[in-house]
Amino acid sequence: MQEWIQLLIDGITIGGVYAVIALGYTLVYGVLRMINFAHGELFMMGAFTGYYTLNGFEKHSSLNDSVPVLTIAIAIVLGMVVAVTLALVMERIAYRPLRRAPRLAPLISAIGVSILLRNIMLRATNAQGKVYPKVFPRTAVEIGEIRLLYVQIFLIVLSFVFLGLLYLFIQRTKAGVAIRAVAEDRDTASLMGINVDRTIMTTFAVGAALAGAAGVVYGMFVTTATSGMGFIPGIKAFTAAVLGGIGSVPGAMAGGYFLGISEAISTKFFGAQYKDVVAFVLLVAVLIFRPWGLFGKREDKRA
Amino acid sequence: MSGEATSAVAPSASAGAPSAHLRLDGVVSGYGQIKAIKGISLHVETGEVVALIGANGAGKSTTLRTISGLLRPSAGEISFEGKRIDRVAAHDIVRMGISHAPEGRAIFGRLSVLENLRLGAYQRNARAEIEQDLERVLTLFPRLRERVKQDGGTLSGGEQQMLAIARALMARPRLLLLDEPSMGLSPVLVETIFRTVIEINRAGTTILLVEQNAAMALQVARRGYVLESGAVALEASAAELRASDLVRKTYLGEA
Ligand SMILES: Nc1ncnc2c1ncn2[C@@H]1O[C@H](COP(=O)(O)OP(=O)(O)OP(=O)(O)O)[C@@H](O)[C@H]1O
Ligand SMILES: [Mg+2]
Repeated sequence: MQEWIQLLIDGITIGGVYAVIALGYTLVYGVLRMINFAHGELFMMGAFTGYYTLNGFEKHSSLNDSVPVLTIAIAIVLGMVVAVTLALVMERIAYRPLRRAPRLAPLISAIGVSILLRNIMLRATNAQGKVYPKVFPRTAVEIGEIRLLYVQIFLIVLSFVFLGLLYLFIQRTKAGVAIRAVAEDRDTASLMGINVDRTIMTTFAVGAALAGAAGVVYGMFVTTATSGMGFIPGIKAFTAAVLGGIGSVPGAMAGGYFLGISEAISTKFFGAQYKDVVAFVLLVAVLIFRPWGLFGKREDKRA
Repeated sequence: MSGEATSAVAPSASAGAPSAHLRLDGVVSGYGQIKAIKGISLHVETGEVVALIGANGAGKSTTLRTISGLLRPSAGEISFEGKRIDRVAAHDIVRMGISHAPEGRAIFGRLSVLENLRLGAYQRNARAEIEQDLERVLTLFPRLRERVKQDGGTLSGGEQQMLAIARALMARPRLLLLDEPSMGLSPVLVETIFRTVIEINRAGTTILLVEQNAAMALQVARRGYVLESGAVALEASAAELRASDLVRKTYLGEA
């Protein structure tokens, strides 16, 4: 029993990360019908920003020890700012000029951006992973055989908070309704007085903010930032978005947790080295049998 | 505005009138290489209902889409209340006072009726006024009031048409572009919609009305244009159009 609870907790931990990143894929897909393959790199850039920020505090002050809440908050905010800035630049330079091009063009452009960002960081770091300073004690809460790192609790809670905020934003705010309207019918949205270009930028910004924040927290969790770290979580989050039905916000959230928990449970049966395989088997199976997602409905008016 | 409904309106005399609410001058527009309208000139005066009739593919919807900024004309000029609008983005044209209820209703199916209506007022900020207008359109279309929480996609065709018109009114337009509001509706509903169109006009909104239902449109409108293959074939008062051979044979189905 305790083993299962442990698996569940581990699944929710990583699932929350997938869910938060998956929202970026699903939101951008919603308004542009495009998979932003550079989204994982925004997450990676967030993780590096988090590292540089916390490391800066570590080198030049004792704030990491005295007020870790503050330094972590600053790191997260900076991670978001960097990711949002990058996303807006990439939208403007790499995607917007291709708005009317065949669908494959922006996809290839996105892959190009992804490779570019990865290689910039590879050079900037001389291919050395950056190890986060120990802001969080690497100790755990233990209940029987269940182990929960403090940073893990932080990650789980923060994921919930971000998902909740995003949901409120999409459902309740004027900008959120505009995003949903643009996703459904761009021309009619502009007849309502919605600035479609600006709404698309908002969408990129919101997705990037989530990815940047997730990058910082994930970086603290795994303790290292590397130029390649956006790739696997990126593809996993994309898988989560597809599992939930790409374009669907609740779907991306549910898909993230579903994938995280599936992976965690699979480690019990097949060992940890197979958990990526499990994710991609799920992806392929869903694409073949339920391309509209596990939770979505079949009739799709989005095409 | 006054009782001149029976006199012919000569294009040369009126098309250039600087007072025109909306004026199109030699407008060419279409889709990529396809020119769907080939030099259209027309005008709508403040307070009028003007009908735009014509067969399928004549270019009626294209004309409206070009006015509201969804399409950019490749030649010609469009002005509204004396200002050029043919280079203005669609979302800014709404702000200037033109609202377009497009063909096929174009309801946001996954947004609630209320969200659809509020989107109509997207570019407005005065909250109290928006609430007031919401009340007004829900009074105009009581059927919508019972369904404000429902998703737009769950409405019947007639209800969606009402929502499309109500949503367009939420922008508080001075000019309303209506594209085939009667399409696919039962005769009773068509009556209702047209009565509402008259009501909206009486309340002070100028209307450019695209219709296949020429009989109905020419009852509501003061003047009209007949479009054929992307050009104006005929321009006259509604009464004259009803009496003309072209309209009677082609659009009213009379022998
Ligand atoms: N998106 C499009 N791409 C290419 N051509 C189009 C497009 N929309 C319309 N057309 C063409 O432009 C011409 C005018 O179409 P438009 O929709 O303006 O006609 P209409 O008068 O509104 O007809 P209907 O009464 O059937 O609505 C038609 O020949 C049509 O095939
Ligand atoms: Mg049409």
